[in-house]
Amino acid sequence: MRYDVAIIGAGTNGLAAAATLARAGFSVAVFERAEHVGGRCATREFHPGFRASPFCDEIAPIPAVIFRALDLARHGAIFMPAGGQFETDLAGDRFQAEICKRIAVHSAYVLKIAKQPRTRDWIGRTVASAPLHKESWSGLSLSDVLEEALPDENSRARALAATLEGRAADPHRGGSALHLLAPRAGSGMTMGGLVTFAGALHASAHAAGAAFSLGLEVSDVQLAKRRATGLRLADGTEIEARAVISTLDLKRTFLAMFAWKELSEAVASRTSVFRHAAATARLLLALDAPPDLPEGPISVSSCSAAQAHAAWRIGTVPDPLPMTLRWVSAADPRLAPVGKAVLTVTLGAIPYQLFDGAWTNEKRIALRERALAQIETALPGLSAQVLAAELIVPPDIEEALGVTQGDLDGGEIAPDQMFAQRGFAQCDAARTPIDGLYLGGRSAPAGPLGSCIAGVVAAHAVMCDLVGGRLR
Amino acid sequence: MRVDAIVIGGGVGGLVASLYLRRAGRSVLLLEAKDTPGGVCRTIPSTAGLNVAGGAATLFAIDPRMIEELDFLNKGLTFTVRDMPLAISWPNGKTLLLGRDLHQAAQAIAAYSATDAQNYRRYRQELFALARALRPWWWEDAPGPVAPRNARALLERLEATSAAAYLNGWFESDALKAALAFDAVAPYEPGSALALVWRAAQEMCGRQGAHAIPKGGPAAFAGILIALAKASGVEIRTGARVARLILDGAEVQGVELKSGEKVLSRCVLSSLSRRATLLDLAPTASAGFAETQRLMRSAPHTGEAHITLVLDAAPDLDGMPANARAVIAERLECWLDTDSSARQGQLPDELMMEVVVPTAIEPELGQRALSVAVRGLPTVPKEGRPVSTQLAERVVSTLERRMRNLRAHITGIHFDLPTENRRDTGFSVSRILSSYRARIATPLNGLFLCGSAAEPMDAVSGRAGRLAAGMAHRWLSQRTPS
Repeated sequence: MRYDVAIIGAGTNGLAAAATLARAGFSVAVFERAEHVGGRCATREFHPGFRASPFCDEIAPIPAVIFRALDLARHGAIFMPAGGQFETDLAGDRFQAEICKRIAVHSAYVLKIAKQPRTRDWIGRTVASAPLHKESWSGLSLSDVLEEALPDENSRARALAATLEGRAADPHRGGSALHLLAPRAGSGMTMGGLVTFAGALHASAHAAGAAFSLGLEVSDVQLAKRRATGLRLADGTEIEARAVISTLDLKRTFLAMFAWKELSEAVASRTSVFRHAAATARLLLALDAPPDLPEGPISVSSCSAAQAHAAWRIGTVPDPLPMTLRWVSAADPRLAPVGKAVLTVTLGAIPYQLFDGAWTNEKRIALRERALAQIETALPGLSAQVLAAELIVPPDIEEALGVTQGDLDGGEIAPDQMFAQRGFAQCDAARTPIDGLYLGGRSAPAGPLGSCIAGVVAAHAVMCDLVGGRLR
Repeated sequence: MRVDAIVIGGGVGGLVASLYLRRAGRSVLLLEAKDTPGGVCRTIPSTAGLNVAGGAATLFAIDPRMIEELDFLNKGLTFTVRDMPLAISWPNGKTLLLGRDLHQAAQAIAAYSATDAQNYRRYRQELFALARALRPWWWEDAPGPVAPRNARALLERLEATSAAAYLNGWFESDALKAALAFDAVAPYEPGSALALVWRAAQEMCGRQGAHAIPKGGPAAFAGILIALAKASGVEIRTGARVARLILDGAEVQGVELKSGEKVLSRCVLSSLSRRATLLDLAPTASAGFAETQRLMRSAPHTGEAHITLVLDAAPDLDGMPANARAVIAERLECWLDTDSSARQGQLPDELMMEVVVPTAIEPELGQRALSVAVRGLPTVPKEGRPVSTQLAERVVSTLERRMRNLRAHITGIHFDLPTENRRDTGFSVSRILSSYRARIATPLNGLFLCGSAAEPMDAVSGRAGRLAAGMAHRWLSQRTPS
């Protein structure tokens, strides 16, 4: 089989890339390991009658221009605001809005330059004039930025908890302010769980003529003369393609899809130093009765972020646990049976590997009990309502989504792994040192800015190179 | 009293600045708060008639152009050690010696790790090549754009990379990484990989990235500078602490001493830190609101202490050659702990230190002493409790793991704690990336910085003093057309 573009992974980025390319008239095929599309935008029944999105409740914001260009509203993606952290806090709201605006301006720039054909001095010029790059965020610490922006201690604490939700970082360290620019939530929730958003993207790509292959893993990217020429699937089928977009993270792309000795030294060394910082665990709770809680997320922890990070770093679970509760069925009643409720809890600073070895069943149960006990102390009476509780720790996320170490950010958020430094510094946007191979996931330079951006940027880069004749 | 220029602080930077201003024909008054000038290179009087430097034990960043212009080599400056190898104490008790010879160094590392040995060669080559490309940038006051295009991509990467991440990319042995990270000062700070490059860009005795000990120790080097300054007519006043700057709007008019005496001058050069100069000496917010805010925030958590242990016998060095500088640092990750414990005002669990034995190779110093530099110490101790006794105990017990019976031979200890010397210690990307001109100039007209705070990183260099004198001279020429 022969396509213009083969895309590895049918998460939001992969689907958005497929829809963009298919709408421009290229023949596209998407290869997904799981039986369904969507990646982290999954929603499943975790207890009879109770449904929740296991990996996240909201995804990072989607630029309006992508949302419109892919016609997602017509394909069924309806977002509703999930109730912010700052309901009654004007300064916090303004700060949040200001950060969102910066990210939006930067993403618009990234999307714009991805469409430009490149000239010789392209990289240096575009990187130097990227809006966020000019602001030199990389030396700032999160605590300094918040202290300057928010005079009130409570709103500072809320902003810190919201920024580091499901993450581990020392807010005093230089460069930790970058977490503000790599949001994980902010798009709001979709009716029926995030799976409906994945469905809309899928429908948009499908309507434009993209082909899908589900339930079959890609085993290799085929190389000919240091150029990607196609894929080989786990069953041995070979797919020819003029370009390949990988939405896997950088480590997984090069460790799993290539033989190590085939890689050039630049790629091999970049891959080996690329760092991941998995720290998210999720607890899904089925409740017998609606809790007495506000709709928005509530942060339940007395643990400082610095302490949590110190514990996480040496492979221990912090005590007390940093966690954020969301009563998801309040905003979307379809997730729970009538009169019942679904609560999701995002735990932060949970190590991928514990100091005394891998996660075992006993350790999972112990963590679940600790989390429930902590919730009970903070919100008395809630644990009596719990019908079922399911815990997901980083190795489970790795297993389910195929992200290295279960890191939902696709790589640690650090100054040497953000913006132009994220993928391959010597290549622009989504390109890699291997001709015809593009990174379109969260490990790509545009990845952390929002949902779908990295995929669309990769799609534009592919179109540029296909039309410009670079990939014959 | 009225002079052309006042220099606050008689460290190497202040001495160099006053010398150059005097050579340009300006009358200079140098004010030193302590009894002897010399700053970190001053001799400390000790009970046993010992003459050792109070702070730095080695020199690594002296401006070669200054050495040439001031004709140091004919004024009695000679070096007893020109190029000290780096001694790393390995966890198994052995000592790894990394000298200039790359082949030998690689062979020594190969005993522990073959990949590290291979990578060390390439690491040194990459670092030294980039350092050479960046020299004009760190050596001159108005550098052009960074020249080679291939260096620019690497530079852009290092600007955001911490030394820890950079070293992690090269090596696997923890002891090697921890020791190499010592030169980066704050190895987990983003951009601190540049600190390693800056170190490699320095030159001593014509050798790139070398550490050297002058004959008579750094104190002798300062002594030559003091003699030169006196001979050329610089008025040096010791025991003269400056209380405040006299300002007229945003323009400097002179200084007022603690004694109440006022000295008028159109131009003041301060070798104190930017923070101490603008916050403590100038009236509140005279530097402008934004700048004041920034300075208030910029207080570093960690600092460096110099400790000199006076001994009554030559120390048993346990396999370490006497002319090496030994770095004792267990694991790279210990650097992370230093930061969090310093924030709580506590000493870190593991001390990171550099040990030099200046007297073992310098018999003229008369006494046996160990010079220890400890990094990652809290600048603000918990509840203001002095850390000196606790620190001395910890330093000695850490050293005793390698040097048996050390405790019995100690006859005296001298401290130079981070809280006392109040320099802008620590690393900051914006500081290392800005030009000398930006670091020397201040928001106040006629006020310049000339000490180690105006260097890209803390060091005894004289480069900032030399360049600040040039800027001050130009400023004076503009003000008073002859």
